[in-house]
Amino acid sequence: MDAISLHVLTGDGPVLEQTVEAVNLPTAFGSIGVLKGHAPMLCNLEEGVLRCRSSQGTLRLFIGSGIASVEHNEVNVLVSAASLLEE
Amino acid sequence: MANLRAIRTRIKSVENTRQITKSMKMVAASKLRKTQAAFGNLRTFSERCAEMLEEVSAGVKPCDSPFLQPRNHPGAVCYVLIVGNRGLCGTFNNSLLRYLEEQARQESREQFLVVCGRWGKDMIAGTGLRVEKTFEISDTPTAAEARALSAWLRQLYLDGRAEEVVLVYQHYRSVLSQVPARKTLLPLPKKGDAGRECRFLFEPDRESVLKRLIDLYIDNTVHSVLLESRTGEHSARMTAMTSASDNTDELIGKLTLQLNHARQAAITTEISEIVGGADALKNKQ
Repeated sequence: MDAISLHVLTGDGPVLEQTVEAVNLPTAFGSIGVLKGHAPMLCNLEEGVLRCRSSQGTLRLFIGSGIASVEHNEVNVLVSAASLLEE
Repeated sequence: MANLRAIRTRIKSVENTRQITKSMKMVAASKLRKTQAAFGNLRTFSERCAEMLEEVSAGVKPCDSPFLQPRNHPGAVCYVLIVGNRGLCGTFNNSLLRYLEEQARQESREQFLVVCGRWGKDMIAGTGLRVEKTFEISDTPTAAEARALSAWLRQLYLDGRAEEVVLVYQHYRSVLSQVPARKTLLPLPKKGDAGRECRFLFEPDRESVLKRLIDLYIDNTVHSVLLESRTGEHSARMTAMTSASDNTDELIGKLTLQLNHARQAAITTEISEIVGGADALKNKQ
């Protein structure tokens, strides 16, 4: 089920590298869901919570503004800051 | 005997110096590992950022972003001089300053400086170039420090106070070799080919994505240059301190030899005095 490789990177190093099923990206006009087979896309991210769902459960990350690229089931998230939110 | 004591004091002081240089070497080595790791962490980010910019740059026109088009009116050149935070690192800072002076001589436009690092306020003032602002950059520059600097530089460029922003820093070749280099930060070098079709969707639109990406790219360039320069500084200091420690070892060896000579000479004199005294007594009898 997990088909998307998600990379969350900041200037100070990678924060999350994981294979997931779905990613929810926070943008200025609401959140965008990315599933397997999504068309290539570049989108601006705003400060907010990024959610990703995998077979191990759902993870939430608080991210600063930045940019995300989606291509060939690979999501690269380049942001100013990111940290995992505890349950 | 006075000579002996003098040599012993000298050896003691050289030993103290050796202790200092050795610990400075170790500190530099650990800082070097830290900056190298940070540099490695940044590399993936830089690569991804450059890839994305390449994609978006397809068919981009200079008028799409103020950072892409050269300024029409003649303005000043801003040199961002990235020096070390301290001295004691060989010619690292001095050679960079000489390089800057050479660059400044060849430039006919008005020019001013932005200094990053604590080293040599007086030395920099000696070049006669106006220092607009000084930034404190830590020994392992973080993304936040780089962002503060690049945001200020972007504003400088947008306000028209500078038509060109040039980073002057020590390019890191290896632990043993750093060479002074310059990199034009703004305006951005031209990229991409106009005819290529872009296969990406943009959210919310191409202009804002391009703007965001360019900001990210500039931040990233500044951050990597800062890290590169600091990596060079730490390795230059490590090299300098290694050779200083080696020199103290050599010096201690020489001094010990001298000390032994002097001691031997003193003993010989003492013995010959005793023998001479004994002989004199014998002759008297």
